[in-house]
Amino acid sequence: MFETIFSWFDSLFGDNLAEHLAGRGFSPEIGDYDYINTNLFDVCGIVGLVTATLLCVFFYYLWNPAYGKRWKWYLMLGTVAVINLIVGWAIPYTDLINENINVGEGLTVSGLDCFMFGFSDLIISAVFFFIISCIIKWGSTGNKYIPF
Amino acid sequence: MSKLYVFGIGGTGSRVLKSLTMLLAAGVKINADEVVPIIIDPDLAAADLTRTVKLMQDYVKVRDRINVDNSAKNSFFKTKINMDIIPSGRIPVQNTKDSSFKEYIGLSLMKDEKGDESPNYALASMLFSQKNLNATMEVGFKGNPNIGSVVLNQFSFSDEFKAFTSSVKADDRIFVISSIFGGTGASGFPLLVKEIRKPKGKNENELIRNVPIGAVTVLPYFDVKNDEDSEIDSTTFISKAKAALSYYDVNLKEVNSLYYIADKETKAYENSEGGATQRNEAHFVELAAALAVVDFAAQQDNSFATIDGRVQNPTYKEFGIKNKTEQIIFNDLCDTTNLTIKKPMTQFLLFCKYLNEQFNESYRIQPWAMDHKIDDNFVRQQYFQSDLAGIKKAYLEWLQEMSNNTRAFSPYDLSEKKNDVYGMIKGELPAKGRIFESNNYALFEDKLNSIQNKATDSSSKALHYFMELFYLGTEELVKSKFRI
Repeated sequence: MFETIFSWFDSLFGDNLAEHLAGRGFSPEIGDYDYINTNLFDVCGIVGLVTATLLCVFFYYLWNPAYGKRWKWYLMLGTVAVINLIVGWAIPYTDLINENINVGEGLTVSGLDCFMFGFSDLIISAVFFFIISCIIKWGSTGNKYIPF
Repeated sequence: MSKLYVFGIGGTGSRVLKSLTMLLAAGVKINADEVVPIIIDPDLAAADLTRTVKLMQDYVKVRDRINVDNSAKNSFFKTKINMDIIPSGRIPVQNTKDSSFKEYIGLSLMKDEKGDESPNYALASMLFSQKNLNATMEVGFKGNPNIGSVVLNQFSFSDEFKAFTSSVKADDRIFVISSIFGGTGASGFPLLVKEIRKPKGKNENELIRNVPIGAVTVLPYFDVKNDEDSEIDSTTFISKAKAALSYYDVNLKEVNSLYYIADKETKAYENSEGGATQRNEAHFVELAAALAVVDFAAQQDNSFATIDGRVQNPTYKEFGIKNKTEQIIFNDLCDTTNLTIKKPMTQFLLFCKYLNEQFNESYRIQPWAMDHKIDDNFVRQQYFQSDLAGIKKAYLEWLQEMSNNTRAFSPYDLSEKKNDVYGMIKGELPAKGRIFESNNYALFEDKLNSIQNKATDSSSKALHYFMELFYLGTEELVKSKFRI
């Protein structure tokens, strides 16, 4: 499911990185390239969903601020976005600097590709945060009308 | 008990009635279905009188917008102040506006056919000094109860007094508030009780003769500044009080419960004979006198025995505080007094401070308001903008005046402190909040938002939800922060 969502942004971070994130690598057993590694789209997607959910719950039910509601909601949104920007960039970039990216002969991935994947993760996690906000805000005593 | 008729005679009577109204607005429990206020004061323009009447009218208007049946959870404005029996709240005193006392008693007519002074003229001249005879009465009797005792005899013929007597039922009670050192109160009080206990056959409503009567007589608790142009002289207050007490000791047998209150610590007020300038700052003695009304109402029926207009077992009470201090706070009051006033007054103060300091910033963004049409339209209504706002302003002024007076009653820090809202009770630290719990007005909002479903809406009573919400919210706050 997460792979499908991230595929809407693959023009930002490139097909080669997309293949790596999908788990493609060289398999010595078969002597060819195949999807043998962990699907990192799922990992980033789950991290995004979990951080968005946790910060939503924190905002609406634990913090539940009385004043400055809107900018505090934006603060939470920004926090989710930044966390997932870092996670989305760091995961492929770690593989890149450890030379663990091998999706095919002559197929390369750059640092910019990793950053743009992080940027895609930022957008998707922000959307998760917004959707979850719209669902759970009604149970909040003080913030049911935030963000609208 | 059904109705409690409360007579406020003179300036002190008006000010004590004002204190009583404040306590009722705050939700102090009184054992009466209705309180019927009746002011007797010839000084129509007296600022204390006009302030009290306006306050009571605002109280009635606000209460009319709230459901106060037994299912209601709100105690603010719970007790009905009945201004239907006497809509003006006053018994008028006629023929005092443009005449002197000698004109009132018709001194010039006390002559025989030859034009010589009759025995009546001689008697009047002996009983009253020239100063008394020439005194004008537009602003009252200026500390002369001897004049008041003649002029006030008329009140029993007024339509208002007849409306009062005809409305009294067997299970009603009557309470009289007066000072002993002024003119109107000192003369009006014994006249009133004697009129009520008139012999059989003289009263249109015979039931009234055996109705329990309580009274608080307020001894000197303030001075006035020396003014040679004024007839008011505070050096005579004590002597007048002594004279009146001697009279009461021998002649006042009609009262079931008589309460006394006074204070030796006094402040010198501006010397005003009456009118719009007679506007004394609120004093703790007036609040304590209002508590006499509450105490009287709380007495069981079987503690009063009046047979054929004769009181069988009168009781006499004084008011005291626990600690002798010039700045009274709650810790200086006895437990019974605190039990009566601390919680309701604190709740109502929290409500008033919130309205003053935070409401305008909050009602457009908080669910407790947005979910129940507390919006710009609600805020513009007369019942909110004028009636409730009038009560709020009066309450805060009343507290401020008492805290500025001598002896001061200053249990609260009334200054605006948004960073320390719950530090408002002097001598007490608020309880610390739980982890993640907000503080100050943010906590107030949290309480209101979380309990909004407990307050009921009413399509016919515009202020009902609002008052119930704030009553429940402030109740939770005083419980959690002040452990009351």
